[in-house]
Amino acid sequence: MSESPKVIFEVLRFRPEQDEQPIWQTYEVPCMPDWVVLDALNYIKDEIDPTLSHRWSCRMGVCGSCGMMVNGLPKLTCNVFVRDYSETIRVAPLANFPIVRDLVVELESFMSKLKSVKPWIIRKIEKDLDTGEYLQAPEELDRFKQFSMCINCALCYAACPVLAHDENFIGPAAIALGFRYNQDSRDQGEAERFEILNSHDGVWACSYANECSEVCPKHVDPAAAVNRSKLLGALQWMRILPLRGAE
Amino acid sequence: MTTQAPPTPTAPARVPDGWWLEHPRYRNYVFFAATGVVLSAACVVLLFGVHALATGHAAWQAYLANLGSVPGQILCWPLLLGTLFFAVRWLRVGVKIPQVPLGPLPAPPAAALWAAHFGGLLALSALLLLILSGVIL
Repeated sequence: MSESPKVIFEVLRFRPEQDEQPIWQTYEVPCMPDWVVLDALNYIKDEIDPTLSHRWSCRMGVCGSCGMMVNGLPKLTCNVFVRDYSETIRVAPLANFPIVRDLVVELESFMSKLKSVKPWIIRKIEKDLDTGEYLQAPEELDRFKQFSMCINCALCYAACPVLAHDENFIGPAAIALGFRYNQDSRDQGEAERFEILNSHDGVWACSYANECSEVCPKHVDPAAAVNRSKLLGALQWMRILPLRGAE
Repeated sequence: MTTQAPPTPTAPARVPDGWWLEHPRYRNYVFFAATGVVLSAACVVLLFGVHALATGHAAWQAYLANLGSVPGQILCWPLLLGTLFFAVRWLRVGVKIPQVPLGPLPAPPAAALWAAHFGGLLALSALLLLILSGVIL
């Protein structure tokens, strides 16, 4: 390891028991050529400073736990190579979220927003188990499949300039999730989601920044979901389109 | 009897780095939002034109003369550039909106929407140029 090139990591630290506000701390890390940023953070934690706190789990861009700001942009740290950056790499907790400790952010509001759009299949009348599963054609699946690829990493929330100024905006991931269920041919809960999606803090708060879609590591397009929801919501409000599940 | 745990002490959320003019994509978005002022001004200029058209030939000629004057050009070129920037930037998100099935109607293909958007922009621009240059009307 001693022969590996050293990379300077500037990491934003916040220890509530001693720091009044977040401060930058510098670490010199001998990085292997194939390391991702998360490897370097784990090296700091294991070998240099065990007090550093950060979240991670799968190390393969699936769990969505290790989202952080890397040189100012929201990234999954397991998904970005150290070699792709210059000699100094700045790592900070996700923007637009309160900081619990170091690189760990408070996700309670994010989880509440996801839940608020009722992200499950709603049926007015459930079928008996004896009658078999709800069938779905491939073209019906295509209507929402890309929106079901979201891993809830919250990078889109960290990139959204609307959320930077309006913490009540329910945000791209939650809207994409609601849209995903509204587009599901098995679902009948569009009317139940209508109020939250079309509220003041819902789709209409979006102002076309498109940053959510730019930063998504799974290539979901939340901006499309948000703005298609605007179109559908307007047509449904004018009763030009039916609202599934309405009385 | 249970007592509620005190809230976790947190540091305030930080705004995204580079907001609002430093990062190129944010800068692009801020300029896009600012075109609201440009579009409003362009609408006022066009409303004056509509009023001149309704008033009569002399008023319309005076309107065209005002547009062609140096102060008119100083006003109109920024309005034109701002409006074109809005139209192109809008396409990034705007073209995604109709790509959704509407009741029994299938989602239109993206390529057709791009063509319709840019085609519409070019057709309307050409029409306006023909009107303002006196070929039509």
